[in-house]
Amino acid sequence: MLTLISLALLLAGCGETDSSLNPSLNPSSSALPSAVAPAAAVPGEAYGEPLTLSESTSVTALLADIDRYDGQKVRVEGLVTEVCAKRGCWMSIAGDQPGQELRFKVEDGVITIPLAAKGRYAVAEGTCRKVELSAEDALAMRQHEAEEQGKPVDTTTPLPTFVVKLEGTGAVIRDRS
Amino acid sequence: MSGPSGSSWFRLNRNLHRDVGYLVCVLTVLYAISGIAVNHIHDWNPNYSIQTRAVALGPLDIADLDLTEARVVSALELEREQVRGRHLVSATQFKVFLDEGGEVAVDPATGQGTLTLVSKRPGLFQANALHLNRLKGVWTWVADLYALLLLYLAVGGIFMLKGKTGLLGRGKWLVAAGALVPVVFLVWS
Repeated sequence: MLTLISLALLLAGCGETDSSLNPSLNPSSSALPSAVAPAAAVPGEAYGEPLTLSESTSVTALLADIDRYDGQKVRVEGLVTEVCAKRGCWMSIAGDQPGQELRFKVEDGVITIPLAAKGRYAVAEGTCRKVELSAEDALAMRQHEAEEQGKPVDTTTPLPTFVVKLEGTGAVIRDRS
Repeated sequence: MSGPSGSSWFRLNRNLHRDVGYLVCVLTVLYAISGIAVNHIHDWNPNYSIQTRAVALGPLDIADLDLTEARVVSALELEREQVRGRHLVSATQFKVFLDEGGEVAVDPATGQGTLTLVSKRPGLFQANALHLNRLKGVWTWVADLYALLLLYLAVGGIFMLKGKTGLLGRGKWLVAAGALVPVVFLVWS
């Protein structure tokens, strides 16, 4: 019984969650560990690793010169226009112009982006990758996304010939204002 | 194991097994329900209920996106508080973002599109957050401790009884049968 009481106390002790240890436990917290880097002071809900870059590259600039950024670690920011509805494993970040979009992709289970991030503002960091797509791949991707989002397949916009992904390591999400 | 010390070991194991069982039963039920839900993620969304329906609003002027958004909100009789913002995704798609990840997506030229409403599945969303360790941080340690307790329940459980129903009796055949199931699937997959 003594063993059991010790176990119960240990559980109770662990249950006293210190959200300062992990900002994602306390989404309303804007306080990120300041020792990491000045860039980590971006206010909002933090997901994954703290941001390390202090300057953002605009999605528009990145998409205009993808070959230059391919393979580089970048920080971008913008409106979240889509989120993976089933696993929260990606989100799309819009550029300044219609049609501009960057896919922020994270490893399943490592970071989970909430569906409620859609329509909010993200500051995200990761490695930029340009992925060429065949017509079949592009169609399959679109069908998969439609199924994932529980929506009909979008037939109004042309199929992409490539996608630009940010292999995401961390993000901060906040309201637009 | 025999004699007083053997009996006392069996008694201690039984009592500990019983109390640890009480301790972890709620979390085990939550994890089991979440496990079934997440196993079938290809067939449904275990976290959110997503309702989509077609809408026809008529052609929309996109010269002033504030007005376009207001027109969509008014035409669909949406609550203003539900609206998060809007975005002209492309010349053929205008979106108004709603709470919880919902949205209206329409082609401005025709006003045809979809209204998607999203809500969290009560209970299941929270169970999945625990099971899939979306909380991270300290919960990871709690989950590790829980896993150790389950490990004890499994190993301690097979040594709870003696005799014909114990491990050395029919128990060994049932343990072997249980071990065979994953082995068969791994070999044949």
